[in-house]
Amino acid sequence: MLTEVRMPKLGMAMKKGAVTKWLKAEGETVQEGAELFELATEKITAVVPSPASGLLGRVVAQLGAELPVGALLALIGEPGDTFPPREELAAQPPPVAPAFPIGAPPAPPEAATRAGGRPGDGAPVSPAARRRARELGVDVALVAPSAPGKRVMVEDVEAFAAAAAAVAEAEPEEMPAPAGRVVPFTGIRRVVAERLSESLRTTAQVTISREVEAGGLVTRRAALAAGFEVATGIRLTYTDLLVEAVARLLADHPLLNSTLTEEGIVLPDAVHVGVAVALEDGLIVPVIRDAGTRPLAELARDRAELAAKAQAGTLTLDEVEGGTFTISNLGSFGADAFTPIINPPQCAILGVGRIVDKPVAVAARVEVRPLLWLSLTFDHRIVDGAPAARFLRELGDRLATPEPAPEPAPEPGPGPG
Amino acid sequence: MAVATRTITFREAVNEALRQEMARDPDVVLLGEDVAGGATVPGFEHEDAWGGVLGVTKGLVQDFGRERVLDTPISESGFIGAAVGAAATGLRPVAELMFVDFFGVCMDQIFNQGAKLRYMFGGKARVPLVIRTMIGAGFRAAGQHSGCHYSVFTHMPGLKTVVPSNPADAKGLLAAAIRDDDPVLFFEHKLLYDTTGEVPEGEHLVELGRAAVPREGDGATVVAIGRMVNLALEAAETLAGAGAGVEVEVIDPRTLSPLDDEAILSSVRKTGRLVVVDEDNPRCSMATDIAALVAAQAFDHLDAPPQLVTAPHTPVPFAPVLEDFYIPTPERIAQAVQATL
Repeated sequence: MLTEVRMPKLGMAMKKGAVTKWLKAEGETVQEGAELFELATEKITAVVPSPASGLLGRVVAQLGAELPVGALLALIGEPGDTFPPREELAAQPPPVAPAFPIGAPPAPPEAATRAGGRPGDGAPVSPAARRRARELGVDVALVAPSAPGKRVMVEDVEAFAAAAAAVAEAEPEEMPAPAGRVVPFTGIRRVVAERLSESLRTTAQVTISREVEAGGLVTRRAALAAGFEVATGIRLTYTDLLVEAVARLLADHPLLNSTLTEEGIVLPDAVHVGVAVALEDGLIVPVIRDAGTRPLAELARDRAELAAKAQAGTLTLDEVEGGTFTISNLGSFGADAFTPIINPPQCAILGVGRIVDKPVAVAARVEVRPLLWLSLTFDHRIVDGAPAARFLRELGDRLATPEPAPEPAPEPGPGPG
Repeated sequence: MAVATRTITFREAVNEALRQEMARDPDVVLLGEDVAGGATVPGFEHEDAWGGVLGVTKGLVQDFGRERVLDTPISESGFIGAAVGAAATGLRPVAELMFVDFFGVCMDQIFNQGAKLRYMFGGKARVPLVIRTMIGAGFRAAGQHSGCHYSVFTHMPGLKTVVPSNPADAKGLLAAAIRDDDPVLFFEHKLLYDTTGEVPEGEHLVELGRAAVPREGDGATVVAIGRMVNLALEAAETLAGAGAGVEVEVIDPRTLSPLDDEAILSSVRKTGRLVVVDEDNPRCSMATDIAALVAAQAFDHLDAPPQLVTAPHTPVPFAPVLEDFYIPTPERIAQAVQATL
């Protein structure tokens, strides 16, 4: 019996992924549970175990090709089994992955809801034309009916596809060879690219900046770091203190901690802060849970563990999902200020620059104080400029104060309910 | 193997099916109002038999006798009930309900007895009954003798419904209906009796539940029922000749229960367009049923909304100009096809 290896669904939000490396070659023997291939999803990379023991008889998925959840990746069988050729298997459409056990209806074609300046705008499209467009890979919104007021029909779609093919044929395929080296645009680089492009395309991003005094931040870290490292073995970073300060402050600014969904603006009960971690070939944002209520020591320990896992490539999908706000600290790389891009579906992201001693006018005298640029990018669909600026000012006040920000009242222990 | 055929009328084809089945099976008996007529009645020995009001059963009483060709009183509830009982107890009766419009007085026997006996006795009772009945407008016979109403019977589980459109099918379908072990309503359109066609001479059977495709094409599918098949073929001829050159495919379902779903669906998958032509009234009709079938099972193949060409939701009018307006025409069918293009 042949066992189908299909694109796994590693998290609620996962829609597609790409096999980045086969750890077994076609024709090799595999063991159930043993590592079979490496997978890049929209958020993480993972190593996927084999679902069965036997002969890896056919590898279907090409390296780097993005495939939907449920797509056929490989076949495992016994020696002597017949494995259909890869072309035939790859051509089979993946089963529709049901969102519910009863099977949700397939989503309407994207073109049906598209609007704006297209040739076929407003013309009804027949069901058969929609089907044919799907088969031919034609964006049906681009197809015009045969006459104004008529429906877009199968013949119109086929004529459009034929015309497009003719144009494509007329255009020479040969591109001048690029001078220099070509790096494959795949894996986590492509994931990062798509998510950031989508963020800019679908939200109304505004960045406001403020240079703040970081005296309190510097003093507090200096006071705590040595003892902290002795007690925990962890080096306390400015990022840890920023996570703590931002998460505590967000309780007073719930819209900056929100998510815009179909149902409305969702205000989470807790603050889960994502911290951007630079990797050799990309970027990943593990999430520190309940950062608004847990003590600094726990936040620092989580941050250190997650950062280590990020570098090792062992983060799980659970560890990168569910963030409600993101902090990106480029200060350690020497940047002063920048415009960070929101991490969808969150509402806001804080960009942190380097801490520099600068002369400052204080009560008509010049003093040297540590200063720091903060840049807050927020989704203007959800929040306006004034409340965002207020958040930035209050955050600045906290970082400037030499005394640590007052801790909230201790949480009562878990009770019934 | 060439089958010997000759051109005869629809009426003669029905008569021939009855004659051949009666000769083949002594259990086949006819009953109805005037299905024999005057012949062999004392005092009328020299009269030829009437053979029903339109002469369809003419000549059968002379060959098979009054024991097997039974004239009944004008009592549909009595003789249709007798036919159901005779079928349940061993005969293969062919009852004639003169006009389908009379079904109201014998509906308990058809619907609550004949159609349900096999089901309610767990298959141990069989009702191998055929009810022949005349349908259709255009005969200037007014509202009580002109309806079609096959959709009423098609709605009822346990009944089979047959609507032939040409002489050969009339013969083959009637013979198959007589041999069928379930009650079959066999609808004969009055305006078809004088139409002619090639009909096989000997035994000729047409399986119930198989549609015919009297004209193939890929431009649009026209499903037409009974006499409407001829009008649809006329419309198809006109459309093919017109500048547009549309090749219409005409589907004749021949039996409505069971219905050959796949013949209709596969044609619509080819053409992307559906027109249903039905002389019956439009609500809860075969036309709406076929449109629903296609909408549910071939939606992604439709290039246009299905078009229905039917009688209006009224009884058949008596005034000739209104009656002519009531019946679908080739012109209306052609317009409906063009509306899908």
